[in-house]
Amino acid sequence: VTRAWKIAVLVLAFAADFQAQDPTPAPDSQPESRPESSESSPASRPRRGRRPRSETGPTTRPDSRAESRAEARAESKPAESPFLAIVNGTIHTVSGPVIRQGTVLVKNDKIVQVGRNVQVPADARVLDASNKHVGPGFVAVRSFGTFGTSFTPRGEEKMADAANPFSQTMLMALSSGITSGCEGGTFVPQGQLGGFIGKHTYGTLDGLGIREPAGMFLQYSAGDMSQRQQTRETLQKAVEHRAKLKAWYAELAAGRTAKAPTADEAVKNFVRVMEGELPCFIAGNTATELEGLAELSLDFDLPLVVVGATEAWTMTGRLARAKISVILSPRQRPQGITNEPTRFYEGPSGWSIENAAKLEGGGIPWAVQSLTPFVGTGGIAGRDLLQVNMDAAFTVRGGASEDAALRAVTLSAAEILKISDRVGSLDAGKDADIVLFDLEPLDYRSFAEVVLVNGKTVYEKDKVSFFNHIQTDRSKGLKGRWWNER
Amino acid sequence: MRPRPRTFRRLYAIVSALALAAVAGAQDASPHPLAIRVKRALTISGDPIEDAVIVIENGRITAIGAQASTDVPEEADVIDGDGLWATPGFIHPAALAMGPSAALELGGRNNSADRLAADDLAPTWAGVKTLAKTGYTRANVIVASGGFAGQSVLIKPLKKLDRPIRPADVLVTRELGLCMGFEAHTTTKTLWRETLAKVKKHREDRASAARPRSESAPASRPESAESKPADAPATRASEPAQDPKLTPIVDVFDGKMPGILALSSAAAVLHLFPILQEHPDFKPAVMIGDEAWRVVDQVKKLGVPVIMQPNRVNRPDTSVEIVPVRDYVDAGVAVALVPEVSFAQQYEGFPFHLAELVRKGVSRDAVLRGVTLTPAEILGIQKEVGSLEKGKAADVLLWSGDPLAPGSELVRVIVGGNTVLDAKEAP
Repeated sequence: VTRAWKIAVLVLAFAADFQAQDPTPAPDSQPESRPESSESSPASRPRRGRRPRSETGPTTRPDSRAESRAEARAESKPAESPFLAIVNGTIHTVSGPVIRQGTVLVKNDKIVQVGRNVQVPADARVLDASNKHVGPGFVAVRSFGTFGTSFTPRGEEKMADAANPFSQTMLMALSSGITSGCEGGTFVPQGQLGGFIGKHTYGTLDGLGIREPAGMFLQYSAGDMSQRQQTRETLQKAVEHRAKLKAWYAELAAGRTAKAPTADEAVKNFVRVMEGELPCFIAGNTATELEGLAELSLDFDLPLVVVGATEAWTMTGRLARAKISVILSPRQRPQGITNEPTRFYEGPSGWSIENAAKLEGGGIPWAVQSLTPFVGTGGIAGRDLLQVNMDAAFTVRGGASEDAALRAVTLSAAEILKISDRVGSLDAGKDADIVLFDLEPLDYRSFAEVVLVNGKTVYEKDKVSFFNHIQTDRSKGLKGRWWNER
Repeated sequence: MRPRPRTFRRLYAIVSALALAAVAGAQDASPHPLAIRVKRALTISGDPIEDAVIVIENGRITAIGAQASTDVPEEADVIDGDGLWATPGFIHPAALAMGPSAALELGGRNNSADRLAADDLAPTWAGVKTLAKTGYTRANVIVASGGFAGQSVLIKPLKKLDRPIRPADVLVTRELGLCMGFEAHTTTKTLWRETLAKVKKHREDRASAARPRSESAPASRPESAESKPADAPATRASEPAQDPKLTPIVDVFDGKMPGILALSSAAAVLHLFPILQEHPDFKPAVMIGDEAWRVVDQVKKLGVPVIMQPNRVNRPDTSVEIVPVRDYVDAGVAVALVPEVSFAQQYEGFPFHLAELVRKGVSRDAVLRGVTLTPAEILGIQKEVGSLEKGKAADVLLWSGDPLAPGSELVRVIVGGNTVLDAKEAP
């Protein structure tokens, strides 16, 4: 009966879901080992002399004509190996322990093996990660503009239909190691689904979409009692509909015929959320708001993703009993975040640097988003998507574990978005969205040096003008150019 | 035997008289033969001819060759273009408008393939002069809009008359090509997918239907009042689609009508690419703009010509200079070149940008073809114009030197054997 029930939920996931496009990348558009690391490359592994083809992404497009012609000739050669081995790196799997001197083996767009003793196929392309840190791409649990469009889909419209994979914003997000993002969903009518979850497949639309709509974006304001009342009424219907569905499937499983229960769309959507199929995002910061959300979750068996959660540290037990996970911005100060006007400028702030640590201790899943979900170059430097790793690192200062902090921008974020079957950790079977950092991923000094999405190189620091002028040899300690000059 | 040179004044008198004939919509036709002697003729269709002579009768090239070996009629007027270079007239495959008062943008997304740019044509003498000054002897004025926007009109410049200009003065072909636009959006993708599928189905139905009733089938659309000029495309679909708006699209599929497709960005190419791949018969020329260099592979795979500007771009993320035209030419895609801004009043600097392309490694042939024969082929008028060949319309440009050398000037523009612009007498 349980299995039949699961099938029922899948049936409910009607065709509106965005299905990712053909994820198979061109096998001949893979990255190759970087020349500067040749001395540390294992001797047993044959190296191929040929450059990758230019359509790896515009970042590797040659600027000389001779090269482009040489590559045009290369097209007639046999296809490259589907295997890519990232070797000798410090591998932050996120799902398990850190592996020193390990190997990540990729086949086409998927990770096939991660570990210390990985048998690398003889013809595999090799990316040497000596003295580098290898981690999963960051998952921006909320993002804005990285898919190259500010278009807000309505009705049947899809953000994926307007995505611009040549967007500079997408490339900037990649330069920060962010390979996936969840965008949109605001201004969606109550009970309807919205938003888009996709990947920063710079240069191609193939494999860009993960899911559309992303989930439910619920309003449950303490200042709007009628809205609360309506929401609770819809939820009550959803609870009843869910029970009827269970009964219906029990009938079917027993081999009897029965009439399928019907409900309006908002009710069906809520059932999908209750079943854990889609996330339900909802804003809440003060203890009062959070108490209301915990009550909502407990009353209707409704998993909620609370965005903000400034005062969550005061009530971790209550939140843990409810099905609540949290998206927090550790550097967000409470001013202007509350719906209680008297607390806007005065009263206790409620903010604590220990918020994330307390959530971790209380067993509440939490992810970190940057203070603003944009890629910004002016005014708010350090508080936008470009520094999402620093936001995560800030929680460590308040007592959160480093593992949890890294999870907060990778696996936890993916779990909250319900895309952890695809992204968020370096595990066999997951998408090859991999970042090579020069230092620990959460170190404020680190740079993403190479970024792969779906097994294809989409960003290389040395080839893109954003940061290629910053040349520091972090591999030999802390010294950089700036440091030496002092 | 070289004919005696005569004065130009007589020629101008003939031109003026003939300009009036053009007003009536008739093909320009000088009763008197004309011979143009130049230092070098860049024929485009063949090798350049040194010390060439171009013989023109009744508005057509009747002979072209080396002066030593080409017969020139005794009575011919002679333009002794001592030291001049000759090229065919330039052809603009996708001009937006003619002059400031002739805005053709219709706005918004629409789906009216039966809308005619000719109906909105509002030429000005200033616009005509700009065309001629840039060397354009034909311009395809498009409907700039999204979806299946409408049909373009082919025009040509003429010498200024002492009266307001009328659309009939410049008109060559009323319904030349289908103008289309696409930007990445769910609505537009659906429109394109569904429309092309309808056309595909119509063509399949047509192919499977038994033949006999075609003799009595009515013409696909009422013919325009003007007699059809010689460089109109051959024929239209003999059987109209059920929806008249589909007929021009069917014609593009059948290769009976040229298609011009404006894409809002390189991303738009990626979005439309899988839809177009399902319709291999549908081969519109595409305009992409500054980001064209990002989608060379896709355009090449589609096998369509590209209409692009000669400008170079800096890659925003690397500051590496890109010459998109070179990328396309190297990839073997047919490239038609248009000025940086398609509005006629902003054509200045076009020859300089063409010369720059050569300096950046694009072959001379590709650049010259890009403004003459390639756009003619895109528009399906290559049998009439686009090169200096016997039998083609006498649309000739005379340059003070190599047209692809900076500093060379366009000294004379001849359309159908008639001088419409002469640098010496320009005010």
